[in-house]
Amino acid sequence: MTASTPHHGKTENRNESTYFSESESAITRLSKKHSRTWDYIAQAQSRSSATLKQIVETIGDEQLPAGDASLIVFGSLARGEQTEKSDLDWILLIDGKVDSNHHQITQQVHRRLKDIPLEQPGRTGLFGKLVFSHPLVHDIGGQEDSNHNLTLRQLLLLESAAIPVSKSEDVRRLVLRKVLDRYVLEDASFIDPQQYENKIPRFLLNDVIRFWRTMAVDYANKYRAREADGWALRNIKLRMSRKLLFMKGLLMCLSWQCARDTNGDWSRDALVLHLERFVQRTPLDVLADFLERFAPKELALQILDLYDRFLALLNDDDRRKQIEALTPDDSVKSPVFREARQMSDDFDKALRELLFDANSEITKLVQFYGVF
Amino acid sequence: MPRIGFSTGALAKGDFQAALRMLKDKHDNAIELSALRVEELPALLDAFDSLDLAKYDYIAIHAPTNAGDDSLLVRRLTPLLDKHPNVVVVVHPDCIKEFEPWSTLDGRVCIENMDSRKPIGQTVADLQDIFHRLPGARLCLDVGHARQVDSTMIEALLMLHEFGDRLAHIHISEVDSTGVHHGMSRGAIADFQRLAGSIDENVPVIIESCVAEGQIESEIDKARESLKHATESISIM
Repeated sequence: MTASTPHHGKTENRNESTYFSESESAITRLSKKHSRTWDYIAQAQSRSSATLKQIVETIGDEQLPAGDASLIVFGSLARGEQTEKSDLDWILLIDGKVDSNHHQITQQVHRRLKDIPLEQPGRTGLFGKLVFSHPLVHDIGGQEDSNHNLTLRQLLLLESAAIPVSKSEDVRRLVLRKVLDRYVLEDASFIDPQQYENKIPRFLLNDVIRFWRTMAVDYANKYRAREADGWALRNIKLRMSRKLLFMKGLLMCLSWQCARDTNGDWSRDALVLHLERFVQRTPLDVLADFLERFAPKELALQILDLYDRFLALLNDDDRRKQIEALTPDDSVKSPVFREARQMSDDFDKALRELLFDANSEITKLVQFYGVF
Repeated sequence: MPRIGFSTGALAKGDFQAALRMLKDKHDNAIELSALRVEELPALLDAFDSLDLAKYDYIAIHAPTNAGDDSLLVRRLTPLLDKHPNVVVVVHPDCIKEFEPWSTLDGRVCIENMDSRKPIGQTVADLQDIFHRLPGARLCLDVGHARQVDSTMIEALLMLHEFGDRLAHIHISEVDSTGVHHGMSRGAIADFQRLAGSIDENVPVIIESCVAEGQIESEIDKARESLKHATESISIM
């Protein structure tokens, strides 16, 4: 036997993206820097945190399949924007071997979550059920990538959060890493493995855009299917929170070029990790970070003011009910709706200014990648 | 020459002598002697000095996973470790109830990352917590476990980045979703190759593939191939 010498792996200088500061959120930084508060944003964040804690306590000793399962929430709760009338949309995501007990476990979770005083999962049929990871990773595009599969995959990337029970957070993170790896690995932009630099993840961006357009088309479909029932509130939400989801996806893709602090690591793994950091953030936090980096002060404050007003509207029972009850014909006469509509017009205009006027580098990227 | 060998438990469960007989004429030069059940440990400790281990440049022992009493287990291992200062012991982090006894072994303890069945030990965050409690301990990077947890291999790369200076040796095999170790498929080899550039070629490799005697040499070749730096694959689009 020879003496063993100290062994070392090659400790790579993994120049990980330092895109996000971990110490505090961008909204907090902007608030401090400009001495501005966004009360409804703050309230919604607090409310969301409290509800997540309550869910942890409610699920409690629920035994999810070891290392294979993740209890995941969506919607305003996951975005940190919960209001009094928010839904509790959730899935049990399984990333492992099939087990006939999975159904029973899902039913148990269902029963436990009924103790949470939030609206039950919506009518689309996406939530409150068992979901398997395989189609999310393997069926991207093509016949098998149904509206349902696309929506679930994009919502997982853009507005989801794992309840911190069992190994939920790790399972969610690692499933989404596999999804991101699929987008990056099979992206024709990166056909030369040396060329992750000077490109953005286009396969992912195309799917984000497809999802945004799908949301808009589905909104029109719901108008028809539900005979305009609830149309007005859905309209405002499409123009505000749904648009914000799209912005998160868009900025996530563009950021690989425009805002990444790099020490020269343009590898596939570095890109996946970079995207993963966005997936772990709320849409509003991603937007606020972008505003902090690229927007003039007035524009940044305006956009966050508008979103704060949106959350105020959702949290105002009286105004919300008025809007919910409107038909398309009534809406033009409703001062509440007209004010909400103006707010969403201003939000749209401000986001366009951000993308096309605030920074020439951003504008070039949006023009180049935003059309084809 | 890279040090590659087998875990005795992979070749002959619970019978290290039989495994050593299988390896007698093979081209391996590293070994991990398994005593995965505490009942197996006395026989290993008693026989150690009489074993023919001359061809092995690297020797590890896999500690029992059902010992229960950390103090007692460390006391039992210590005389052998004192007598053979180059031998290290591999420990599963989820089996440790008391960290203080293991801290006395310092760099002789190798913490192994776990597969998805275990309650802890699969991620960088989990291992950070363990190494915080055992600052002198080293890492046994099980690439099969890492792949089973994260088939992109990014978590394994992050482990190498974070704990590369603690790396003692590699475990390699293909691990299925139930935690069973198999011979490596082409897919597993391709995935492991993603790590090759991040692992020094002097790091010993212990194969945990459960294979028959006739497959030992081919599995050694697969392990070598797995840790050869491959050209990154080009997109099929």
